[in-house]
Amino acid sequence: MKHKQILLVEDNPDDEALTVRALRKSNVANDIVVVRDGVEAVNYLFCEGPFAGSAPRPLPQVVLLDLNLPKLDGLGVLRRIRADERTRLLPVVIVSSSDEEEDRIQGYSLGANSYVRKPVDFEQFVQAAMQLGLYWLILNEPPVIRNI
Amino acid sequence: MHFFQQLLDSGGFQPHGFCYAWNTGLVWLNVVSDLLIAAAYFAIPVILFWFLRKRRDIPFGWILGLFGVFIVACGTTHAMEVWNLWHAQYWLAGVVKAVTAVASVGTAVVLTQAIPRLLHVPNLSDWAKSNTDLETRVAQRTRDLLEANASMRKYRETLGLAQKAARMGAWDRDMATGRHTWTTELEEVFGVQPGTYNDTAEIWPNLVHPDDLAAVDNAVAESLREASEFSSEFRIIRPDGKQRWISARGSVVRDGEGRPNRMVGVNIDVTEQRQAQEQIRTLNASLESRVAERTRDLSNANKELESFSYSVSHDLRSPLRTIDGFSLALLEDCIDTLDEVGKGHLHRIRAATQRMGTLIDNLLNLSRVTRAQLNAQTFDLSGVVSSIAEEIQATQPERQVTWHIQPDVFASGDSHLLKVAMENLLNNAWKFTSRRANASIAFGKVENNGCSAFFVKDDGAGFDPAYADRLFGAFQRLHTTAEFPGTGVGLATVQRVIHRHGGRIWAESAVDQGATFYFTLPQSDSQGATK
Repeated sequence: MKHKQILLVEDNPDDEALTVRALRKSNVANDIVVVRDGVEAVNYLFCEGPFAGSAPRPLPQVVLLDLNLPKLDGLGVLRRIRADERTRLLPVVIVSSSDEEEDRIQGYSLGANSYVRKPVDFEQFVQAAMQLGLYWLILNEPPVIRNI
Repeated sequence: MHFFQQLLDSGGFQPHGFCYAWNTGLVWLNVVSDLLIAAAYFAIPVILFWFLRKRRDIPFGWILGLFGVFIVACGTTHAMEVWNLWHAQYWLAGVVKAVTAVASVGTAVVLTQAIPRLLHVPNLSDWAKSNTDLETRVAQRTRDLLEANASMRKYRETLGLAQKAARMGAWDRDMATGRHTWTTELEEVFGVQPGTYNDTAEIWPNLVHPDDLAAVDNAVAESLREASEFSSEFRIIRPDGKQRWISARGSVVRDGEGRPNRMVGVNIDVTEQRQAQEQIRTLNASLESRVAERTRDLSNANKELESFSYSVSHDLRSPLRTIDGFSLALLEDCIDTLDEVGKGHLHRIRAATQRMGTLIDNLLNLSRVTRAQLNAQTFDLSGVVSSIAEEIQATQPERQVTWHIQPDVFASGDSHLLKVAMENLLNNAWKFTSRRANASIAFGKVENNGCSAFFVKDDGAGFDPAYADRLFGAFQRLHTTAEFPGTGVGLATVQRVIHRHGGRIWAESAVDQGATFYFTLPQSDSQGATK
């Protein structure tokens, strides 16, 4: 389970803390890597910028992607992920406060695998995190596991 | 020669006096009588001839001529009688008599034949009568002419008044003679003295605005060339310096061989119409720019609303999640150090946070209903209502509610928005019947004064009709949250959906008597207007 890493792209430290807390409370023990803006997310995924020269490592099992991000927004990150041969099939779950139809349509159009709205009620949020972990880390079989 | 010798030969006969035994009295009686007869007979034709020459209009004059010949012949026989008294040339006398006989018989025959025609010669009373007739007719004709003249004058006067009233005048241009004719009314339109224009038209170039002159003249030339109707609008500058707009129309008249040789038409002063048109154009332009401005404002407002909604959706919910999340974390992590009062406060914080979350969601729904595109179609509203009812019933299966859903009620409108409206109405009914042990909720369609209305009826708590006007306002509630939970946005959303379809919504109720919500939707053929 340990090698099945989660990449959390979240700029709000409160949301970050709550998401990590929700995942841990639902017994998700996997590594959670947190990046705080869109550019950092892209750099991390493609070993670029500050992450250049890091040792080869497997792609995350799933990317939890917020939409409202500094520098490059969530949809921009998704576009980069889908445009690159290495990450084309990487599971990406959009986790957003917004339930605007426009955001959902754009997210799915750009190849998001799922779209989850963050509920205000934290108990519901924990439920959602638990189901996310169960589905994407245990039930779902990723297309290929490869290093980057 | 022998015949003429015989004529002049006495042939041995005795002269006629011999028969009278040369009785002097008898001889002279005959001589004088015959001479007088001959003289009279010779005189009469001369008088007749003279008369005929004077009165050549006399009909049948040739008969009088014939009479003349016949009488001359008779006179000659009497002259021969005198001659024969002393000269026995009876052959000559016989020939003269024969000639007279031919003339007499001829005249008699001709007269006989001419009699029927002579009978038709009008007599004097006929002449007199026909004269009277003629005079009557002349008088009548004169009266007719006077009347015609009077009505012509009247017609001319009416025409003149009409031209004056219409600020128009007629013109006639003869190509062959180069003659121009303008009515005085036309001269008035152009502000020139009566009679100055006719014949030469040399003041024409001075009257027309220099910028328009070529165009008008070209239009005239083209109309003549093509033998087509002439129509032109141009400005004139009158001698008093005033500029006016003229609308001219004319027709080409062709000569006997089909060549255009005349143009006849009217010129109308259309300055006021032009000014009115100009005003309308200016008004339209300003209206258009105002509409464009308003549209821009509206679309800006819409954009602002959209970005506001987006921001609400993203940014306002996020702190709420933090408050709720950390309140719960506090309850979980510090459970040992929190007393009951502290736990109570935290529960209140969480409840308020979640309520605000619901409020934000409801407000977003309301704004979405306003912003959404309408996609009108006809669909089975009964089916939609049934599936919503099932979902609602599933949330509290233990509740005893009888649903009366009229089947096959079809509606024309946006199925998604109308579903939102029906969800709100049915949830309302469900909520306000929650205190009934056996509740009833009905949906259907009624005819109301010739227009059909959909309705949702319940037998729940109802409301005081005095507050009916506050029912559809956002955040307006007629019950406390403790009585019935809610945000006060649901009915505002329903009303907005119905209004966006161009429909009407109203409610009838009394306290504890249940409530009925009615709404109308325009027929499908007028759906386009509501988009």
